[in-house]
Amino acid sequence: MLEGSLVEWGNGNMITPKKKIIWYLLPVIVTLLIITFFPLVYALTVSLRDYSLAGGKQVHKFNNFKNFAFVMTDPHFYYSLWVTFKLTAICLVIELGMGLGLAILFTQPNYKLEPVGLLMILPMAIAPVVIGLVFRWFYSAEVGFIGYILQLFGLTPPSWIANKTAALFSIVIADVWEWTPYVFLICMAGLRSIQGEIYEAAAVDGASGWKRFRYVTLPLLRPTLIIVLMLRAIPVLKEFDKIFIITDGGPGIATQATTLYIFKQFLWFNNLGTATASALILLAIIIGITQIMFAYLRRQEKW
Amino acid sequence: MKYLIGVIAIVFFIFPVIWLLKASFNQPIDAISLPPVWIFKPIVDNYVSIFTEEPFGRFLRNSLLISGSATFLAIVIALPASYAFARFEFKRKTDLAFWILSIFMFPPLAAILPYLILFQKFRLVDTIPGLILAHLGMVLPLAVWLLQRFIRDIPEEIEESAFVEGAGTLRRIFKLVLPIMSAGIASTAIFCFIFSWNDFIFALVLAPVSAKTLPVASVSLSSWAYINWGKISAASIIITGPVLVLVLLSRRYLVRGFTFGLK
Repeated sequence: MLEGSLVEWGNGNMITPKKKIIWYLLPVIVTLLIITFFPLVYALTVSLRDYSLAGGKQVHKFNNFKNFAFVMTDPHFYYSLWVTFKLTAICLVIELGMGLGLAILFTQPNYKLEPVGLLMILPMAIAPVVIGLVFRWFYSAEVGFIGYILQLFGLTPPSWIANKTAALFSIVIADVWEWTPYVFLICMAGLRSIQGEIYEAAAVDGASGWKRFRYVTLPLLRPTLIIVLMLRAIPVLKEFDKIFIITDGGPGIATQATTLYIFKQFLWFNNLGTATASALILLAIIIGITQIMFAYLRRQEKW
Repeated sequence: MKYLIGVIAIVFFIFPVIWLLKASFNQPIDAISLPPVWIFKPIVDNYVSIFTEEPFGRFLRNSLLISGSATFLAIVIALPASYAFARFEFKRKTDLAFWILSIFMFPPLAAILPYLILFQKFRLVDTIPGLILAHLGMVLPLAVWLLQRFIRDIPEEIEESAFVEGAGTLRRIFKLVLPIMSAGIASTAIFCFIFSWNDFIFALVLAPVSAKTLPVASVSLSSWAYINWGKISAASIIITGPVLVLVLLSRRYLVRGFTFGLK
């Protein structure tokens, strides 16, 4: 695939034989094949067998797609996909709305808070584990800060543990807190790069406010927004840490996203076969979405 | 009005961090009291106790060793390839680049379970080299993508003049490209380090006891009936502190780092 004649580079002054290029790429390709590709192929073989880690030597026989059949007929698995989908949709809508809104606010001309606005990116640096812990504390019935604030305003805090909707939103709130700054930061960079054009357009037809946003800012910002959307969607689909710490999938299986379903197949049922089978299904879904994203990026000729 | 929203937003996004910082210097009872006690005599007992009552010194060392090694390996392995992506044309270059990026998108659990079985065969479960390998798989794609962006920032003309003077590719890379992009290498390293440092799930499954890292250790602080929030706060600040410093150092490239060089 890489050998052949000479290839021109730059304006043609520099010539590098194609045969040599492979040596530049080889370290990465070999490393990735060994530490990611090989384990995934191995995962496929595990998913087709009865597999548990318990007890000495075992014969792991091919079991005629029993694991996939189990997962594909398990209502809990479909419910976990539904939870993952709900989480992704709600988080993306709120994060995109808040992030874009704040970015527009902070890029207004002469906005005095702009220099301190960068403080808002703080959450991005914080480990999801720490975010999970601090929010679990905030939601606690006895020592939780959120309940305390709600009571100050005369409201009854929901039971974050027992109420299904509240439990789902307890994760949404933590995720929104963590990632809205990310959307904010990227949108701000996007807005800055098109600011000149926005002013021009506004000066030409005198449009202001909503119209200018709808017909000038939004179309110009579209590529940025699509990239943010895609870059946020995949981490939410993969989300594990915060859910594991804040609700651990509960109450019941109300917040059991697919990642937690996989984890429980492994931890509770000690069934590596079904755990791996469900992990591979999630992987397939994520690869599908990644491919759509990549097709879009390639059309953008970023490459 | 627009300032009110701005202030509320800033307070909202920094409050939990302030809260943790405050609680980490509180007496256990003050840490959880509501309404919160804002004026108090700061004490370092929480920090002292996680290093004396709990072996956080070892967890810190594990975390540093694992993230440091994974980052170093990722940069060294990624550099030649990222140079090729930035400077050479070859068949299926885009396909290869996107294959590498797609690995970064994989759900960790799909890789962790086969790792667990393979690691048992090679005696890598609960070892530092084992977790370094797992983290390397996670951060290597990121390193390739970020580094090639930084190399593209360097004008080709600089290398061309050296080429005309007879400098070979390797010579150009070591004498010209690497020194110019040292800031880029540093921030790529910072982002790889952060992703490895903050990882929870790989470490939770693959290194539960002796190679335990800080995030796993801080979660296990919370798993007993009596939760000592003061200790957890101190542990959280120890995890967060280094990352905050690193983010500040690389703030110029924040957008690039967190979008894998796409923006």
